[in-house]
Amino acid sequence: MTTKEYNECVDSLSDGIFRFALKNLRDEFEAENVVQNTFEKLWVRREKVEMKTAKAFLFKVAYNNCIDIIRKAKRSATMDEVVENKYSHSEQYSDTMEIVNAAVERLPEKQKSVVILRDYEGYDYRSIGEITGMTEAQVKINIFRARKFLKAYLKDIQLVI
Amino acid sequence: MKEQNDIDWKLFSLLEGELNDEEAEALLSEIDLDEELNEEWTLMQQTQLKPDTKTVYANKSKLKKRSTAIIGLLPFTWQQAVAAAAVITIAIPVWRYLQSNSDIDPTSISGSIENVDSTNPETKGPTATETPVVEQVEVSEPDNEVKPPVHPAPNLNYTTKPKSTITIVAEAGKIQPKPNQTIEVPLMYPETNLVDGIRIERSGLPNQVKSIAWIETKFDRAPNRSYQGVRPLLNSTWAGILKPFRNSKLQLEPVEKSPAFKIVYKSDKYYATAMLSLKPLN
Repeated sequence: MTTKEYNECVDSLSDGIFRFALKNLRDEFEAENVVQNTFEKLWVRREKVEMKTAKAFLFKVAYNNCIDIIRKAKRSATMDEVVENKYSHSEQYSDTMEIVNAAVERLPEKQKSVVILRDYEGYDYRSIGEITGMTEAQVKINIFRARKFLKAYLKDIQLVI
Repeated sequence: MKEQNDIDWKLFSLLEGELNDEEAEALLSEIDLDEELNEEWTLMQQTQLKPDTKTVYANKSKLKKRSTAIIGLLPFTWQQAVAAAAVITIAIPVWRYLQSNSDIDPTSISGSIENVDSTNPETKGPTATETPVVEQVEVSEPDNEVKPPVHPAPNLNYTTKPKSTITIVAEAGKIQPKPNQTIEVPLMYPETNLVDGIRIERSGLPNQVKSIAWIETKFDRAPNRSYQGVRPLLNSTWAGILKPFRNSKLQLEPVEKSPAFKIVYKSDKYYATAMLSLKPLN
């Protein structure tokens, strides 16, 4: 990868990496750090990374970085910990997107990451698997569980409203 | 419950485009005829996230690289450089000290130093206020990677534990580094505020020296956050272990016309030089 190609990656992919990290971490400062670290790694390995695989490389690095940060901060919750009151809420919502966004915050980290990669970036299961280290089946089941949770959350909110 | 799961799975498959045309058509017809199923389908469709395209990364220019060399001593790089340099340079003599004194209790080290300092002026080491002149060293051409060579001082006889002073020739914050700018860093205090933008702390466990300095920015939006990679692991015992290095001297200075920093560490017992090279952004 040339310097020019690297800079093109910055232009075309840094926003997506930032949104991905921000959505996962909910911390703008940490998300900016992830973007910096991610592109730093791309720069260091630019001679080994081809332009066509740069996006996957960046998301993989960003994903691992996010997971590390989350684990350190112990923010994540496992699916086993999902309980009925997880659907409880006290927020005021103005539209469906806000509700969905609030629900996404409550997803376990792996589910959150895969559903963001799926919907934000349009990745297929195989590509998401390559980024996250999951099998395609695991990716699919995680996305299914995420959507099921989001749907239940939306339903619950609508009943309350 | 199982039925609901089956419904969810079907709707999920439809949403994800996993059904063939025939299956999709059949399910959509079913949805049209069943109000409850229709509501479920509406909810399932709403689970698709839409990226907020207004959220963008504002500092793209900082990420970009130029094709010419030695451009890019930006604040972040500089801070990382200082952190790395401090870690590399200080950790090595500390580690050596730990290895050579593994049977010494930190408290006893502390006591012996204080006794020596207060009772024997001849053995009293330099202090932060009496900054010794650091011997000039030959600086070789910088390589492209960090080199932390350590050279024990020749034939120094010790009747006491080593004493030294720490100085960091550095500049903090957003300013570009300049040679010959000195910041005194007493190593023994848990938090030493150098200037706005940089703080140095000691960290690490007595037998697991990981890092002993880290950089903290205060000019950013989220203050009091350390950069990832050099994290503090403050331990009370650490202070005792570091006692022998009280007032030791670390000199860190940019090398003119070179993307590197010369690092000199000097105490009574150890003499170390290292070159921290900042890779040209070509």
